[in-house]
Amino acid sequence: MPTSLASLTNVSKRFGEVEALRGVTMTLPTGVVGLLGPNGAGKSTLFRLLLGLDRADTGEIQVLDLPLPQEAVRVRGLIGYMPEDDSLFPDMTATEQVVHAAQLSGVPPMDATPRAHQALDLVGLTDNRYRKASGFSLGQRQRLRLAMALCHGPQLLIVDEPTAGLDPDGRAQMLALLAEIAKQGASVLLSTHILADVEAICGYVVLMTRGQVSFAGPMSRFRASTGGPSFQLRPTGDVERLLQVFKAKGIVAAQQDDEVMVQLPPERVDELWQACADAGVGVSGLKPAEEDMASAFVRHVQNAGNLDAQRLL
Amino acid sequence: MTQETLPPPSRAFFHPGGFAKLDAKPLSDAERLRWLIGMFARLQLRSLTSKLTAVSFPLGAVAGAAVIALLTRIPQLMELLGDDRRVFVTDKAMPILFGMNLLTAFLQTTIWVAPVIASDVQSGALLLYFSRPLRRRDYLLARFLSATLVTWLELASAAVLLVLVQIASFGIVLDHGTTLGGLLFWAILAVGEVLVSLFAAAVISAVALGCSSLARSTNGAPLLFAGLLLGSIPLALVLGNVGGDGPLWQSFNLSQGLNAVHTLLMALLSPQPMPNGLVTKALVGALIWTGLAVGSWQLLVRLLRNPPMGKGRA
Repeated sequence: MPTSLASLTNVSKRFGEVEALRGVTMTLPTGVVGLLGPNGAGKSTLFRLLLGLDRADTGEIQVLDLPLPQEAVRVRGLIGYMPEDDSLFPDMTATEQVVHAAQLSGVPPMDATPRAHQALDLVGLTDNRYRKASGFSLGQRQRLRLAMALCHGPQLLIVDEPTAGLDPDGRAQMLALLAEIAKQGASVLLSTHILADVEAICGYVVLMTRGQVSFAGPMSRFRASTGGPSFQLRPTGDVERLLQVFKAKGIVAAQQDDEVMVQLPPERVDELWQACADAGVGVSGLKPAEEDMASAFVRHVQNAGNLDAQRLL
Repeated sequence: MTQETLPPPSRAFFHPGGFAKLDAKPLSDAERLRWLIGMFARLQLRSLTSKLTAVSFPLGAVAGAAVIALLTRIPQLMELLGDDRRVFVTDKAMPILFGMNLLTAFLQTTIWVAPVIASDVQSGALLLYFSRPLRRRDYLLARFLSATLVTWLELASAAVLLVLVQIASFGIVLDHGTTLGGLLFWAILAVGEVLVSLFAAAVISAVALGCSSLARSTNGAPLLFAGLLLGSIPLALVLGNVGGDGPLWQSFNLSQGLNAVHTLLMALLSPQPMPNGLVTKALVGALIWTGLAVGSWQLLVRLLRNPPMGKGRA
């Protein structure tokens, strides 16, 4: 068993003028790890480095105790990768897709077909195994990609936005699958924008902003670190303007559906009213709320100076 | 939703002690490369139309063989041929078949080889390949060797089939030579056909694949390859007009340039004198095709050094 899922020491990666990763140092434990961060935070770059698809400009990387890039090919044999985008082999049935993926990962041809059926069974595509993947729904395609990532029995499963675009039922099933896979001994590295997904299955959280790690630690510590009361505000008017005013006043706030989460001690509630007045926004509802994952996420990201965090929620 | 409230999976799929641990010995690098070549070749011949295209190669040879077999059954024609049977083989039968096969090979590689890497880019399959324990050079090598293998087998099988039919029709001794001389002639012809077919298949495949590096769409790459082949015809004409109507400029017509390599083999075996400038034409043709193939390979290597994968690849 590897001692850690991945270990990075002072890793930097630059693409032209863009510094995608800036001196990242962290050790990810085995288990289910959630990777959070706004667009451009460096999550995809991190995945590419962990898969050995790119080389870091500086620093050292170990995945499953194997050094990269020296052992990149071996590492990729131990990893199952489920990409975010709609990647599939063209013009193949579901079974063929999975058999193909298994053989590419070094599974002998004799074993590839039974394994493919096992993996398709696991993800609930038994009845569709001989259908062409091009006719699949989004949820079916996601599950097929998961089967392709699993078919060779990887030690580490890297899943990029596995629940994106799924309905609530499909999302619950996908999370249940990932949790079950983790229970059976594989580590899972999950990248997602959906904070509830991380909260549901991850034991460890990494929050990335602007190529740096803003937070890395157990989920319990992430929750604990977010303490502090907040208000749930229902504004009537220009919410964007209100958020700008909050920001100008140094008040942490984020939009969540038609409400705005505001982190503020109760004794400073006057500042909240003043901000609404300054923004010319009315208030149809205000109640105290315990800080949840979403506002914790916003606070961490904003502490790191990333203004896009509000748009993620 | 929390960890405790997640719905259980509908069935128990996992073996006790961990999911699908790989107990079997994984494939070695060489085994995986061999498997990959075979798999790519099978994919190339997957559709009905690609199978029909493949069959058209030996079908051409069968048609040619039928004509030859018919000719040998007509005494008057055989008398007319007389001692020119060898000339008929080297200057008529084999060049016509090769020229015909070459056009089919161009058509086949345009449709089935040129778009494959572009298709892998567009479908995202490139990311699926490279996130597996597969080296980029192995992917490229497998793509090239599989395309070459399919085209070569088609070209060579048709040629060897025609050689065998001609031996059966005309006999081993074509003119008044010895049996050993006759055997040697047919052997050199067959081996030469196999080698020239291999050269043609390799350069055509490399150039066709290379089109994916410039036009990264499944429509663009075949169009580029076809445009290169067709565009070389007026280019050769213009160069011929500017530089003088010599065989050198004819080689810039890519079809003619590759055909010249085959004609050179035939000229070596033909009892008739070698046409003027044929060696130059064949050498320049081979050089142009080799240059294009090497250039295409370099472009593909550059493409795969930083391949378009993941979001925004299209």
